[in-house]
Amino acid sequence: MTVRGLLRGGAPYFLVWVRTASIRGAVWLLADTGAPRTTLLDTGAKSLHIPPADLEPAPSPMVGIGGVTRCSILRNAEIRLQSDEGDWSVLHDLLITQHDLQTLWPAGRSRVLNLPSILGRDIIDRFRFIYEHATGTVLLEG
Amino acid sequence: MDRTAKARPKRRREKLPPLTRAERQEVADAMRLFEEDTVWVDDHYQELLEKYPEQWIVVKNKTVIASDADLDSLVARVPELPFLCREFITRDREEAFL
Repeated sequence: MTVRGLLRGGAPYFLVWVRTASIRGAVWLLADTGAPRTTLLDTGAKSLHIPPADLEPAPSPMVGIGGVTRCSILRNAEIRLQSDEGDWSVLHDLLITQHDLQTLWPAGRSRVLNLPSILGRDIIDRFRFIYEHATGTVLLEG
Repeated sequence: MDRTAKARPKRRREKLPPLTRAERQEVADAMRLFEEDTVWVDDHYQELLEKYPEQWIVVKNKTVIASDADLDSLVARVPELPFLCREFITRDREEAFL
């Protein structure tokens, strides 16, 4: 099976469908082989209308180059990808990272909200990830 | 030892019913439209930047159906947002974000 991604602003993205008992919707995820876990950031979480009650505090905050953020887990979320041969899905505990937007200056808030959600190695490792910038090729093959 | 974590009640995992064939087709159609609208945004980014600088837009069938500088306001105004292409239109699009 082959999942076709998209080169957006020079970076490889895949469109995924996220479903739980209370939410469903689509979100673009930046394929990031440096990230161990697939993670929805602020905008992804807001856009999917994830109820706060569905989120379980993660055991520890997330540490990235930008600093430390609070982290939650959305248990039992179905992640669905569309491939050339049909769809592929997996039940997954999805990480949700949310910044404290109230403490940021307006320009900083906009920048944080513009951060992409991440497709990490926990999903990418199930496939062969092909990325060729010159031809605009972004694929997950399995 | 983290006593708080130990005392936290375990959440009951709700079983997620599998999608029917019709629902899977609906999801496939919704994702295809979502992707087509995203490609349209990428192809028309400069025009959109002139009309909606530093704003969130929601696109449906290659048409901007809502815009707002505040994402929370857009989330409240557009209930079908999870199924629609939404983008922040900014001059700093390709700025590094590490």
